[in-house]
Amino acid sequence: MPDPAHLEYLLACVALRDRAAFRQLYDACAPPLLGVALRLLRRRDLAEDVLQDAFTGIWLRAESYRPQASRPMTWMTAVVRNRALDLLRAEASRPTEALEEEDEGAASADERPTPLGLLERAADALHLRRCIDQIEGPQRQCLALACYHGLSHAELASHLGAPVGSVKAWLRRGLERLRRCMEPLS
Amino acid sequence: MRYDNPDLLDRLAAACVFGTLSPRARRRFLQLARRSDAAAHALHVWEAHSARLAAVVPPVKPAPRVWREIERRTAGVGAAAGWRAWLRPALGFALGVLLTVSIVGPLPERGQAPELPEHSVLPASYVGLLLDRDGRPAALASSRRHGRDLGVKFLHAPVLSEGQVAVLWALPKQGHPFRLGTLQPQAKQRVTLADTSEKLLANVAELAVSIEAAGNIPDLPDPARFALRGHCVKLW
Repeated sequence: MPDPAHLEYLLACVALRDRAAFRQLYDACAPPLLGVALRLLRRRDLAEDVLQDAFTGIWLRAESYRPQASRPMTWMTAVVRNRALDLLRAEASRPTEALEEEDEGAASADERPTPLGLLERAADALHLRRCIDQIEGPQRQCLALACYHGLSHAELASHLGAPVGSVKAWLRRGLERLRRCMEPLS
Repeated sequence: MRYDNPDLLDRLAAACVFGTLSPRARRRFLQLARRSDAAAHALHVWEAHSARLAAVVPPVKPAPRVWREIERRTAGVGAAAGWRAWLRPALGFALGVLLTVSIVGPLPERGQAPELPEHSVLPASYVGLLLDRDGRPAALASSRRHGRDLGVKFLHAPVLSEGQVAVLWALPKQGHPFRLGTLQPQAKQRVTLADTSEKLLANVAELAVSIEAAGNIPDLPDPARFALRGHCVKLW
């Protein structure tokens, strides 16, 4: 994970139109951000489009970044997620293509961690495993799918074979539990 | 709709970040977060949670063409900014002329002041055109050169929550910004200035509007909080 203080410095330089700093910021942050976009969009071409849009936006609006409000990676992840979600919702039909086998850095479909697997990894990394394990199964599954695949309520309902009303309730309760689990980190 | 319920804001922020709000509702919530500290705080909390959860996603190295495309897209930004920098005062001037003609035109000739340039019906004035964050014209401000009143017309009035005020700032070419007055969310209004426009605005390059908590207006504005901003030009 890139050093937040260094990223903050690079963003400040980018706001001053320092292109060398922009390149450094890209080198440090593009791979994790592309990973996030790829998880949501599940198509490399779309994910790379989002990455281009996001970094173009970062170049244009770096001066609007407020260090007192969020860490640099938090801000940039939000930029990428927002653009990826916009694209996901704009797509008439949801992309279902698998990742290309030759994708650099991407494991084959069988080796890729599932959304639930990623949530468990995150729980371990944040030392919150016990708390997150206490979130009931359907709620945890909704959380993982919404977080890592950006599924809407209707998509969650279809994926889980459950009524939309149930999915909304599961997700709402799951988010409440997640908030309580993560409160100590805030 | 009042958005001062922390639990409501927390749920909306979570749904916004996790993508379960409709696209339109998500855009509106992101706009709300720009003008409401409470909404912005709720959003930042969930963005931080989301980023922590995303940190375990395996990184993927982008293809070299991705950077080349970013470089291509951002290379012309300086030129575009220069063009926009030229366009803004020109647009401000043009709209100021239209506004002034529409206001002054129908008045009898006794309304003309001695400061009018020869062969012109337009008074010497300071005119500002303020744009919103999306670059759309949102407010016009104009004041006679030696007048103490500043007229403001909102094309899109800012949305204020309870306990908030819109503050109009002058941004000099050199030196600290200073407050010109507070604005109401009504289409047209008049601000009484502390001195004549000539003394206050002669060296002011831009005007801006920020949304602040009533009773807690800072002495110096935070430029990141400007809801509207635009050039201030001399109309003579």
